Amino acid sequence: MDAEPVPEVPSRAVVVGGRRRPESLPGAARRIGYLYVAPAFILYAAFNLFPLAQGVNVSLYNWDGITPGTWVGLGNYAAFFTDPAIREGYVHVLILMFFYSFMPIVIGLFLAALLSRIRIRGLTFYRMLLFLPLVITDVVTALAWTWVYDVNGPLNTVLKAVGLGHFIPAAGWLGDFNTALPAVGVFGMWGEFGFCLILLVAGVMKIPASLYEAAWVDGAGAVREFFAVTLPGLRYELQVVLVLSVIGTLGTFDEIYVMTSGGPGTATSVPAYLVWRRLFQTGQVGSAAALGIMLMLIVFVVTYGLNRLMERGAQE
Amino acid sequence: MNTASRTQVTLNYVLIIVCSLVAVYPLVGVVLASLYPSGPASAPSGFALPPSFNWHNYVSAWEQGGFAASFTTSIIVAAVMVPASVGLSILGGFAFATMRFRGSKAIFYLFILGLIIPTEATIVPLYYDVRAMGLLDTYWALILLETSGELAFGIFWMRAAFLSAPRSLLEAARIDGASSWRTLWQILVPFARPAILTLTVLTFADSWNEFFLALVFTVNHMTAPAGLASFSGRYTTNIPLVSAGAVIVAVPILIVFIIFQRQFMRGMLTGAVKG
Amino acid sequence: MARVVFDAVTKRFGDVTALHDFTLEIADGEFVVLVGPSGSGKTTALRLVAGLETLTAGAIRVGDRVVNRLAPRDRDIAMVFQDYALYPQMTVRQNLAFGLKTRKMNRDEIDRRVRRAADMLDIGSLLQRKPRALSGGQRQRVALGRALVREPKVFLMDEPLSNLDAKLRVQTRTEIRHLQEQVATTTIYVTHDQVEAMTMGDRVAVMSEGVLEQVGDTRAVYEHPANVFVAGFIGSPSMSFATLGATRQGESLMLGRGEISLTLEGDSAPADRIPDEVIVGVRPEHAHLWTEGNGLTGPIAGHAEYVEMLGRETLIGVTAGGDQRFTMLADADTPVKTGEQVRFGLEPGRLYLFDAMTQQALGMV
Repeated sequence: MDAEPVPEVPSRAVVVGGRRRPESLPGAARRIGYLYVAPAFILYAAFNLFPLAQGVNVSLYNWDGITPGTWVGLGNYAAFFTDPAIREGYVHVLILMFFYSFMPIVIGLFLAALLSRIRIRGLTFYRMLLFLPLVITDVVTALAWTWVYDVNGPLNTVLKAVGLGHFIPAAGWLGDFNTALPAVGVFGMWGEFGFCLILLVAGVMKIPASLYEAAWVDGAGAVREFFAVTLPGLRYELQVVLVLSVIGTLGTFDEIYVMTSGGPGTATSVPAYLVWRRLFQTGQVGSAAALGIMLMLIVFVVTYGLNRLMERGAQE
Repeated sequence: MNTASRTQVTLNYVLIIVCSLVAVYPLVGVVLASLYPSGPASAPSGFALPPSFNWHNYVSAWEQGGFAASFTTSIIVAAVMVPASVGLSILGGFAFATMRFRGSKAIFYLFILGLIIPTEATIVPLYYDVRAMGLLDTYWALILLETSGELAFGIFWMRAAFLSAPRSLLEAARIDGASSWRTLWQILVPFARPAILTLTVLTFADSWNEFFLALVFTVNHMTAPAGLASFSGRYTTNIPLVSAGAVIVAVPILIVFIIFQRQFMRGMLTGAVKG
Repeated sequence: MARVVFDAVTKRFGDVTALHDFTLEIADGEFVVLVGPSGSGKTTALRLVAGLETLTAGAIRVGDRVVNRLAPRDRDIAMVFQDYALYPQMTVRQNLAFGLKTRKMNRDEIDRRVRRAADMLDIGSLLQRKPRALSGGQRQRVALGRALVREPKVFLMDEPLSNLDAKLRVQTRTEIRHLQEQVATTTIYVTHDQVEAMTMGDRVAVMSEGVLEQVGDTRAVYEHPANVFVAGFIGSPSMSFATLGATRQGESLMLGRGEISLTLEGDSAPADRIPDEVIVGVRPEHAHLWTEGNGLTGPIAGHAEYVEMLGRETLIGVTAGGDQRFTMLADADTPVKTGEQVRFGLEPGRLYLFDAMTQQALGMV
């Protein structure tokens, strides 16, 4: 057998990798990866990324969609502070967050605390029912609630039956300036609470029984146990459901369109609805684009902020 | 404390049942309402049973709501969009999970960005782009936009699914001489079948329920939800008729949900992990 | 012909050197076991041959081809993984045939090979099942079968027995060896279990922290360890070590520290230079309780830390001379109890001397 030394592969060439190393070896870059990602990326870039850039561009103009637009720079963004309609939209969304986010979590927590950690027979069936509001098309559920709020609908029937009929607003729940937004809110609360409940109950099940037993031995009552064991144990789930519901609320559209068309007047207008209106109805296309970009930035900031907040809380 | 007293057990059941009833009540109400005699005069007043069971409301609603057309649209859009979106997500997720290539991290983060970009941010330019392409009011507009809209989540989801495969499985395939294509379709995809099913189901639900896009981009070729909204706009006071329409639109997604509940819940509960 | 040569192979992962200047020649048809504790580099060496890692320096040859830059599929090797890595959605037959299908082998040849492997491993009845319907032992056989059907130049086995229960492990050990002899394929076998290494390998390569400590057949490694590590790693219960001072007195060698004092006579003392400080190693079977006129070197006084009755014999752990620990094997009915003072001696000619600084073997005395 030949004893001539094998030419040593210069270590630099192998380690630096890339072109020198054959692609079939591990650690080597594989250009075929680009091929796999390309179709998805092309589509995504064409219909998500590129339009995003375009949107930023359009937002810098005042444009009615037909005649050439006029440059306003950041004027449409400054309108965030000056245009009452925009401010109003965000205020409404903030109010909706109380119903869409805060209440379902509170209810979910309350119920999760009440439910002791035992096996419930037929849980799958109940879970299915509780998920329905979120799974069924928004247009359908929003319509359903329109009829719940109807002049002769179940809500009014019940109120009249218990003698609280005088609370019913003359213009109808969705037509009254003061009750329209909360009415939509209650719809959202109904939609979200099932999901919240399931998520939180699942989270509670994951808390080790030994923690509860330790609390019990320590003589903790139900309330103390909730704050000492249940709540901290749900930190992760709470974070998830909080972020999801807040982000979701920011994008509310379907139910506004179906139930109130932003009305009465602008009592239930929300940013997404404003975008639609300004694009198609009032010819404020530049502003609509800016509103969309603005919404994205807010979503980003809120997500980031909420996550930081929750992480900070977790460290304490 | 896993042993609960009788009262606790009863309380549990009562709570769960009450919550389930609350969740379901408006939907049941819609079904009941749809059976009332058609016309503005009869408005359902709650849980009362209708005086007569007017099943023909469904036929009327189907015809007058133009649901044959809108269902066709929804089905066509979903039939193209779901395989496309899931397929592209499988390809992309596979590459991100198993291969190293320059810039892969950056490209992946660009996709993750898509999870935060709301439709509203791109809808304005998209409208004009689609119009310029002559695709306004066509299936393609919805197909292309919905597919690309799902890619961020889909790629994230499939990458995570493929990453959970044991490394030795991929190494064995490597030694066995399998090409990347073979490794993906003959080994990783069967392995990740549950995750793929979940993604498919969720994507279908998103497509069927999509309303905003349909509203913006279609006028004559509406999808089912948009068709329903339009229908309800035309017959606002005829609650039973519109209710029938609502039930019609709800049925397909309801059936899919009942069959695939496990996937839905898995998907929605763990997909919620991206935060 | 398929011998495997590691030529000064080095593998670094960032700052960590997993394998350093590793040189080893494995003859065609040989069954070599790479053994060592975790982190010794044995698995890295195996994966380098497989092509699952790329080396930092050096070369690996299979047959007479340098395979450094070849893809795993082109190296004509087959691997048995620790967790078997069976394709979960394929039947056993499909698992076996997969590596052949990718090489575009014709159907008849595939069938022939699958049938042959199934017969050899007695898994013919399992061909239609999926991995999840198999027991651990069955899965392991399928993993072996997958390697067999490829008829490669080299088998690479990565701790294939570690996921089996003890009894099955012993049984499968012999089966694997028997199988290998039948097909006469060069095999590199990795394990952390030195008993496996000793019973299965033609040669054993003991590794530690990325370095090859010693390679040789079972006897060589057991009876002539090259350094303290190998001496302590091979053999169970393991060798006892004591650090003692060494001085020559005429023809005798005096080893002692504290209360331990051993005198070794001329004919068993090595002639070469002995450093002042040595590590003395003695296997438990060469240490005995003291009786007069027994020819042992000693006595050494100590007290029994523990007494373990193993049924066939008794293991006694003794602490002597302060903190030096010795283990010795005694008869099953030895009346020693924990805590007792004992005196013991060591068989002359059976003591291993190691340089206390370099840990290298100096010889026996």
